[in-house]
Amino acid sequence: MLDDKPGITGGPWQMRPLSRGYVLVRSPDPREQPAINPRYPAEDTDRRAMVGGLKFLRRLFAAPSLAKHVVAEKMPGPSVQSDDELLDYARQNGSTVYHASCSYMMGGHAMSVVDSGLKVHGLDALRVIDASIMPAVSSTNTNAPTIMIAEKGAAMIKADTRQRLAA
Amino acid sequence: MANAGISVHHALPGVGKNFQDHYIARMSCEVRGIGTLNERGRGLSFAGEVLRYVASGTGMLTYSASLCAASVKVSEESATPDGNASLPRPATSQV
Repeated sequence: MLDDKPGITGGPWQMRPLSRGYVLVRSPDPREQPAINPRYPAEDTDRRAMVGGLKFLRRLFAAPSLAKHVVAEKMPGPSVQSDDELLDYARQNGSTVYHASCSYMMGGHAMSVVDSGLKVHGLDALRVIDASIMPAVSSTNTNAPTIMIAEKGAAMIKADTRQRLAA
Repeated sequence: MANAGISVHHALPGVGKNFQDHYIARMSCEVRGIGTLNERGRGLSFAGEVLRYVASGTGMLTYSASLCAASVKVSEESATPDGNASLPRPATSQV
């Protein structure tokens, strides 16, 4: 919802979070929503990055080129100052950047789900081709890397099909 | 899986684990002396933006969630930039 007054909003987010969450099935009914818990900032490093990001944004808003336009900070506002207060504000008011990923990570170890050909380990005819195969979330927006994964996956399906038809 | 009433045919303990996302906490300031999307996003001005979009496919309605972003180092111990600052977004009364 847009504010009544002219304003600027900025948002900091940590590029490479260490916290790990989960997606769990809750019912045999596929229409039932799974339990998704991102476990945001479970790790201390992530909490410090969140606080550091908010402090950076304050420094940015205080830079001469922006400060000359700033009337007052509205959110979180001047009463929020200490690291604990900033963290609490972030916890209460933060949200997803919609970069959900990594829950079927690619790799060759016990916790990996798909191999380097995006095939589910131990199954021959099932691939996962989306952002969930990233072992770690990209530092920035997930859009371009996800398109890359999709293009690569599509090329692998085509190559496999050609090989099968030729055999 | 057993708790959900589903029998396991192919055990892979990593399924659904390692879930990651970015988490954002927004800050906003009231500003003056400069035009912002807040005014352009309502009333006659917004009607103008709609017409502009219909006529030329440009303007406010084509903006993404953030118009610019900076990669910055926000933690002492990080060797490389570890924070992303996205701005400006239209200022909202609720974050």
